[in-house]
Amino acid sequence: MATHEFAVSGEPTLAQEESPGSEGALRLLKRTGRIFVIVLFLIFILLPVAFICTTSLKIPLEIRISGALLPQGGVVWENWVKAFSEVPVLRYLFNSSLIAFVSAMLVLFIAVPVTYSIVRFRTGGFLLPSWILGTYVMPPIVVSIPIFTMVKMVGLTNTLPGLIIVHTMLNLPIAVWLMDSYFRAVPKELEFAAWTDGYSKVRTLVRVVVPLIKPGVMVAGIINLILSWNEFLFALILTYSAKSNTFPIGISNFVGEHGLQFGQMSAAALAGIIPIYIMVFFFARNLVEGLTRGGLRG
Amino acid sequence: MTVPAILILIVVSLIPLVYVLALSFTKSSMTKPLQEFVGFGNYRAAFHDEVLGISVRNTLVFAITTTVLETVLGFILALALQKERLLSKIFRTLALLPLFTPPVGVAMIWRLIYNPESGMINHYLMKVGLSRGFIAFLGDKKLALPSIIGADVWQWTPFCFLLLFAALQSLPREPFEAAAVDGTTPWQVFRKLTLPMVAPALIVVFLFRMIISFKVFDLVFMLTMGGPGNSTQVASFYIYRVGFKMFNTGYGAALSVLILLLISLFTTPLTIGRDLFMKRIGQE
Amino acid sequence: MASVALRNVWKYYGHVEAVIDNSWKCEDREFFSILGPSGCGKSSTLRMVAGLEEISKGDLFFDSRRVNDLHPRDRNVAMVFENWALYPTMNVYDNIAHPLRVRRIPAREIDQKVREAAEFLGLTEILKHNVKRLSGGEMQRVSIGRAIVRDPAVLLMDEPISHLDASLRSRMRDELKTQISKLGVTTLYITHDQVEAMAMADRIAVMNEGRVQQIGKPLDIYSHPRNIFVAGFIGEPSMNFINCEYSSEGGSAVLKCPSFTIAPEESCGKSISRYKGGRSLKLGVRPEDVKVGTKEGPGSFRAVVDFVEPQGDRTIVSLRLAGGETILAQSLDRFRQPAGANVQVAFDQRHLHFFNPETGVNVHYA
Repeated sequence: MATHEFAVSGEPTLAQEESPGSEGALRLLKRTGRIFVIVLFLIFILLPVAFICTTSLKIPLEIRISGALLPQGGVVWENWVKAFSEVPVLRYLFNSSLIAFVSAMLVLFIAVPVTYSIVRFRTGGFLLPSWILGTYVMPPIVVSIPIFTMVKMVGLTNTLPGLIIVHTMLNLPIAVWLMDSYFRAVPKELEFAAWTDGYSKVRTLVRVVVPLIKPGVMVAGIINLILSWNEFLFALILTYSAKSNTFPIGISNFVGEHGLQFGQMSAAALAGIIPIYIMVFFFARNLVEGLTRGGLRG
Repeated sequence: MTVPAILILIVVSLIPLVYVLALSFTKSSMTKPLQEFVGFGNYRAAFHDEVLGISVRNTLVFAITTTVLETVLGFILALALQKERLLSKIFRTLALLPLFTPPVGVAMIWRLIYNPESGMINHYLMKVGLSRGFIAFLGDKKLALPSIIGADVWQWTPFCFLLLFAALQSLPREPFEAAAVDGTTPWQVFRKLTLPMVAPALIVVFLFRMIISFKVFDLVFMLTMGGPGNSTQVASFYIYRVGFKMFNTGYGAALSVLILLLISLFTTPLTIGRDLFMKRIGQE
Repeated sequence: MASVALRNVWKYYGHVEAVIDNSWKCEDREFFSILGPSGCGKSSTLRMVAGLEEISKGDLFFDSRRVNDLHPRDRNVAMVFENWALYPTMNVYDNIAHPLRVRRIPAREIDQKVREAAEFLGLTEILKHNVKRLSGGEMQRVSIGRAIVRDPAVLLMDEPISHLDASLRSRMRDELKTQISKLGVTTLYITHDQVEAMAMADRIAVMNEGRVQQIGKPLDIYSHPRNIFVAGFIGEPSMNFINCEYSSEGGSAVLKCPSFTIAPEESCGKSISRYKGGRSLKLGVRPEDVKVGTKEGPGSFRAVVDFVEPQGDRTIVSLRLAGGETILAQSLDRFRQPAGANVQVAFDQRHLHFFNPETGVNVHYA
């Protein structure tokens, strides 16, 4: 409806089809300007992605000499084939997937009750939220040395479980931060009703509250998955062989070991990027909502 | 039930910090930790460490530049898309892509783009006639840091856009209608109405982004490894080099402590300032 | 000052017809109210006058000037919004001064006008307060201050007091009316509360489902409603409607209703005899014209008291008639009969209304 698009520029969306002379022209000009800016950004965002896609499909010779966007010498699949055969890309993908999935599950498993306690019962009072805040100010590098030492002590370096545990701990605060606003949106009365009906706190949480915050749990899960998949520093420190390398590390090792084969590297990189993009597309709405809810609370 | 879990968590996260602190007072290496107590020796060495100074400066430059650029660009985009229903839906989905691209992907993409011989930028610059030679974006001391900043802007501007767009959308409509009836010009509306009302969100986004940008590591590792020279040496990367490449964990720990202090010193007044500002506009 | 006239104005939202062929004129300096239930199109109409909505079809005139295509800022109207729409980041002074500031009026003149308006509305004490701290009544006054500080040609008010609590509302009603008559500005006042409209307006336009039902002075609308909708909407408690059959046999007219039969007297006999629509009619009678007593009288019939609602100055009595229908009666005397009592009911025939059951139109105007 016309009224609700009365946007923040103070201009009513009057008669855009039939406005009087100069007013209409000015409006058109403004709109053109706006669209221009938007399209510019669109290109800025998509062009790099397009470039790596086309690079992966170019013949290696062309890649070395030309930086044109579209493949000039024809579209080939050899880069993809070679990437998967010469480098254990699949192994890396498998490692990353496993770690991401398991740690996301663990995080949710722990974060849901923790967030609930914080929101509902003010557990940890002032300290806990501050701790959560603190963990995001702190650069991971600061605790990298001790964590490396600790993981080494229990013999979990270069193993999948080691990284799973580390990722879980790292991402826990983020999950709590994300789900916070969702928990707060649940009306207390529902829980009171459940308690008076005889439910224990745990049961209330599981049966009553969680179903209501499913979007929040989903967002936290997905973001944790992606964060774990993308995580670099600790994967770098704690793994050093194909058996446990995650995708990011594996790919960056690529450079050193096999020389600069951009075509294959592009293909390999895309192998890890595309699954993420697919997930993002699926859950776009959820992600946007979760991010804005969490982000705007500061 | 959760209380013990939380306690464990806090303890577990405190132990590393305590360990780092302890380590910083010793001369250790990765394989032989906690060897020799040297008091403030590491810290004194840090003071004379030129590279440390450079890395701190680079980090600051990086953090401030990226934050300002991304917040402003994100805001401009958010404003431009306010009235576009369809476009904004498309955009909000596409905006997620750079944000969630694995750092390896981001690095790969920008490596390709910045490549002197076969990169996209060089190719089209030459085509248009703006440059004659091959510009080594990542290999040039003066261009390396800006190039990394460019990659970061690509990745994070959409994030600022998303948050600011949501903030703008949530503004109440009626004051703007009243402003139209009152005869306010669009520029006046922006200055007196839109900006003040969206200021809290702007500050939140700014601060949030800045804190994250202090932690930059992945991009540097994959694009320049701190070089050429020390032009892209940033705090996190330097500590990594000291601790994991030179295995000087004692010194690395000291640096970690210092950097942590520095960051807190920088962000705490900002956060307090923000809280005060929020209170002031909420209550005044 | 200016008069406001609508000529065959329509408003579409997509396929939905929100405003259908409205025509009326609000004279210069008149307090004109548009009254109707939610969704009847009154807000859309006001917004079209303000310029916040496009006019789909028809013409809008300020005096003799067609203003359909004028931007709101060029129409010299001021608007008080339902939610007051104050500028949240500014204080009271800046809110009121805003319309003057955007016109680049010198600061000293602005200060003078703002303070005048503030004093007029009793806001001088809180001029420096941020608007978020104000109470509902204060916010409303600031909203009005902002509207009047410009000396607008037309003042538009969109349900300005519906968000206040009941006691505050009746006080603000009187205050508003006083202030506005002092100002003497042409005022268009939108509301769904008929008590408000009746108390404040010089003339009222009653709207329902996009159409204007009737325009007239408050008392005229009350005493001579044009159709069932207006008759039922105005007046509280609302008019009783009873189905009946009219027949005139051999010169004497008779009204047969399920629970009673009465002979219409001289006064209403005239309008009915003109009625050509057949024999069934809807009889309308207001509760205050329903007389309840214990003794039989001319034209009275039996009924049983359902329940009694004493309201202090008057008593509402719900009566169950022989045929099962319920009607309401309003008694100014202390009504003492308990529920279940048998009583005698009669109508004050001077104030009976008859409506065509299909069209709903008052027979008198058919």
